[in-house]
Parts: sequence; C-alpha cells; structure tokens
Amino acid sequence: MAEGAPAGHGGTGGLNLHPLSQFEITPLIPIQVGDLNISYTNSSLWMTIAVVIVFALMALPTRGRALVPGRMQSVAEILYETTANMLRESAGREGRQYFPFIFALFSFLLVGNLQGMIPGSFTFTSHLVVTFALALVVWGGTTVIGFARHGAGFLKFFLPPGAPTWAAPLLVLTELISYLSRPVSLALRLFANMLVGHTLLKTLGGFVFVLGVAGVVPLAVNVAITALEFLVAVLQAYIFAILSCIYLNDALHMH
Amino acid sequence: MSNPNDRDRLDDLGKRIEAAKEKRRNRLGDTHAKSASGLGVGMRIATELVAALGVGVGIGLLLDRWLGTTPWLMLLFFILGAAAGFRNVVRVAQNYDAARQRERNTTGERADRAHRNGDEEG
Repeated sequence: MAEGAPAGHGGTGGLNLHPLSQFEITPLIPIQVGDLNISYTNSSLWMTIAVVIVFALMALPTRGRALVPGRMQSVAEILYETTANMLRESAGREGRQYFPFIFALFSFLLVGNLQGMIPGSFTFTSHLVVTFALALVVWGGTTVIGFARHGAGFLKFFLPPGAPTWAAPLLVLTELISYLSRPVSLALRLFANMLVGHTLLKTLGGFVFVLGVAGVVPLAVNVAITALEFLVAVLQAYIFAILSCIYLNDALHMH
Repeated sequence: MSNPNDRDRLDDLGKRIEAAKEKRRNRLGDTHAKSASGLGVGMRIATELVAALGVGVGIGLLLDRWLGTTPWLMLLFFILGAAAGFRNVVRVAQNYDAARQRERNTTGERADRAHRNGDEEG
C-alpha cells in the first residue's frame, strides 16, 4: 500500500517536466533509530505547520471572546459550527462526545489540503500512507466503539435483517468485505484526489512554457483547475470528516 | 417572575422548547449523507466500488497464499468483492436519495438548484 512517493520522472522526449517531483519526501533532520527511519521530513514539517495554523486559528481570535466576532473569530466560529452541525446531523446527540476528534480531523485535513494550494508547498494529504493511517484510526476507533456499546451484538451489523438463512454465509462475507473496504475507500479517495489534482496542475503548468504563445490555452485551463482544486481541497476534507461521522453513527446506532 | 401566572407561562414555554428539540433530535441521528455536490457523490461511488473489489481480491490472494489453493479463493473473493462493491454503491445511492428527498421536502427549490449545479461540476 505504500507506493507513497514515486520519484519524478515525468519527462518524455525533449520535455523536461517533473510533475511528480512535488511529492518527493526529503528528510530535513535525519533520525535513525535502529532499523527505523523516523526522520523529520518535509511532510512532517508541513504537518507541524498545519497544527500550528489550526491552533493559532482557534486560540488567537477567540482570546477577545467578542460578542460581535471579528474576521478571524468568524472563521473560527464557522469551522466550529460546520463540524458541530455535521456531527449532529449524521451521528445524532450521542455523537457529541466525539466532537474533539472529528474537529481535529476535519481542521487538520482542511488546512493540510489548502496548504497544498500554496505554490512550492508540500501536500501531505497526497500520500497514501498519511491518509490510510488516518482512515485506519477512524475505522479502528469506530469498530472499538461499536463493540464497546453493543458487545457481541455489533456482529449483527454484518447480517442484513430479514435475509434468508441459506444466504447468510454469503451475505456475511459480502458485508464483511464491504466493512473492510471502508478505510481503503476513505484513504484512497482523499489521496487520489490530491495526487491527481496536483499532478494535473504541474503537467499543464509545464505545457505553458513549452507551447510558447499557444501556452495561453493551458494557462487558462490551469486557472480554472486551480479554482476547482480549491473546491476539491475543501470538499475532500469535508467528505472525509462526514464519512467518519457516518461510520461513527453506524457504530453508535447500528444503521 | 413574582407573578405565578408568568411563572406558569415560562414553564409552558420551556416544555414546548424541550418537545420541539426532542422532535428534531429524533428526526436527525439517522444516516444522512449531505448532498455536498455531485462531484463529491460521484467520486464517492467510484472509490467505494474500487476499494471493495480491491479488498476482496486482496483477501483472496492472501488466503490462497496461506492455504495453497491458487487461484480459486482469489476468484471467489473477486466475486464477493464485486458484490460488496455494488452493495456499497447501492448504500451510497440510497443515502443520497434519502437526503435529497428530505431536502426537497424542506426547501423544494433549493435542492433542485443544488442538484443542477452538482451535475455541471461533475
């Protein structure tokens, strides 16, 4: 699963494009513990920046606690309310105690995706390892919550109600695969969206210089795609978070 | 507040607010895939299908290697994975449908417009 950072060899013939080199991981502070390489990389750096931004966004503007919010306080409040609504609408009242986790997840991914829109930055969500690790935490967590709430009764989740007994083994296997595919689809969607969008931007960007005067065409397309990428960045963070809420709802209420 | 009549009215209002809140809570709570946009839904369906198929084939290959039954379990789990994929897609579609139905019931016109915009983006 860890085909994380293919090195850039996008150039064909005379073109000297490296649309994939932007995904390369470079260690900034090499740390080696035994066989384990836990270097502080550019990916880690941008994750740290994302956490700092989220903290700053939450801590600084709310210091004043103005009744009529200023610009930054509004942003913080919108983010808070979006997450709260999303959680309440998909997981109900009982989902509220998991708000801190969902909020941390959503804001981290949102800032991470949007950071990628800064030219020259590194998009840590464009790596399958990162998104898959997050998806596994969500999936593992909701499974544990499901069993903690319903005990062995959570296993009924894998047998659709009203199914004939002879079909049960097949249905249970199908539902099991469907359940196991959740973290995969969750991780794959975010990773693929970010990877494809950024590769496309860079590839078209390369065409602009190669084509000379005709380069205005890919340039115009690139402008449009940049706008689309902003939408995708927000949308994919939102989808990741809302699917986490829906999985949480399944664990709390079993359908 | 000293007037007992006021007190009664306040209590009554409190009860009514509680009842309305309870009604709202019961109505929500179920699975509700918010129709963010057609782009999101399309992307979701595509990955659900691929992921389930991939997981099925993966399980089949692992079991085959473990039990030495190549390629039979892989073939079996390929079919099961495809079934799970379609199950996922149907589930997404049902959620989407339910969400849109609800949206249309509350704000008829807005849902239609949102849907049209979604189509254009997809």
